[in-house]
Amino acid sequence: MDKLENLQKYHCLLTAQKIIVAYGGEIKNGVISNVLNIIDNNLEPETDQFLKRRVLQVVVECIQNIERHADEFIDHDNKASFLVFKLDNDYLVSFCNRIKNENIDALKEKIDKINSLTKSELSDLYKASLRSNTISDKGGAGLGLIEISRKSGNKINYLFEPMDTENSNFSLMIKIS
Amino acid sequence: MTTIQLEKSDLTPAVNFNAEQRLMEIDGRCIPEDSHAFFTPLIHWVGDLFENKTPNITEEYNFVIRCEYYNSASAKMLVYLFDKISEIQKSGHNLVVSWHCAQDDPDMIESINDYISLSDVEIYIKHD
Repeated sequence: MDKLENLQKYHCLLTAQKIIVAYGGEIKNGVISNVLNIIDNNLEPETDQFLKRRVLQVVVECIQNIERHADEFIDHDNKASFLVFKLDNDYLVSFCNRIKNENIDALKEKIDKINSLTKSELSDLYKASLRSNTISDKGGAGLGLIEISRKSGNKINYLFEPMDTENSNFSLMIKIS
Repeated sequence: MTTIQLEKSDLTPAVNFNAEQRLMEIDGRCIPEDSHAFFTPLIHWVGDLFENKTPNITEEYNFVIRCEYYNSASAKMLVYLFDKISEIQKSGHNLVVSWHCAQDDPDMIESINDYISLSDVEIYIKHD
């Protein structure tokens, strides 16, 4: 997506005051509970309770995914930025964090597979992954991504932007409706 | 028989496992950073109670769950918990599982039904 277009979108959002939470920095202990409290407080009181819970669940999966993968980096740096905002009647969760270039293909493959499935196929994959013993030592198996997709009800949008020969920026945009 | 009593925290539910009261309760959102470390002692406690302490087979034991939501790592650990409970139920023990949720909560009801089919466990869905 064009960067200027991005900037304009953020400007519109800021002026419309529909940002629920914006965060940039290290994902360390305590971030998750603070962020959940902020989201809890900032969502409009009339928000459907189940929609609200889906927003919280998506944010939890995204943050904990970053925590789980921090030790892949020599400096254990797990800086990330994220934004939760409302656009029309939908909530959007946008995350950006660093990923090792060598892990891009596998992640891309997982997301593309999830995006290609119908609702009932996704439900079958979710159950198979719950039962699967091939879970990685990170607790992964893509279960987090599957859960994000189920709670979102929409395709997962993503973008990889190279930083250097070893790392890239990984951006996720999830619409919850 | 020891009990397990854990206070509710930002990331973990309150837990009250009490053999004398024949009661196991989990209450609150469950999003621990390490779900394996959180659930493993609970699963062992339940297994130990029914497999080693051999309580009277006719006595009713209650396992009560009230959980707003849980993370995907906990979703996986719940399969192991319900596998254990299923074994116990099939061995003839009267272990009754009640999972409380709102009547119009389609996500939670779907999740509970997933566990019923995955672990072949009996769970009563109770509406508050």
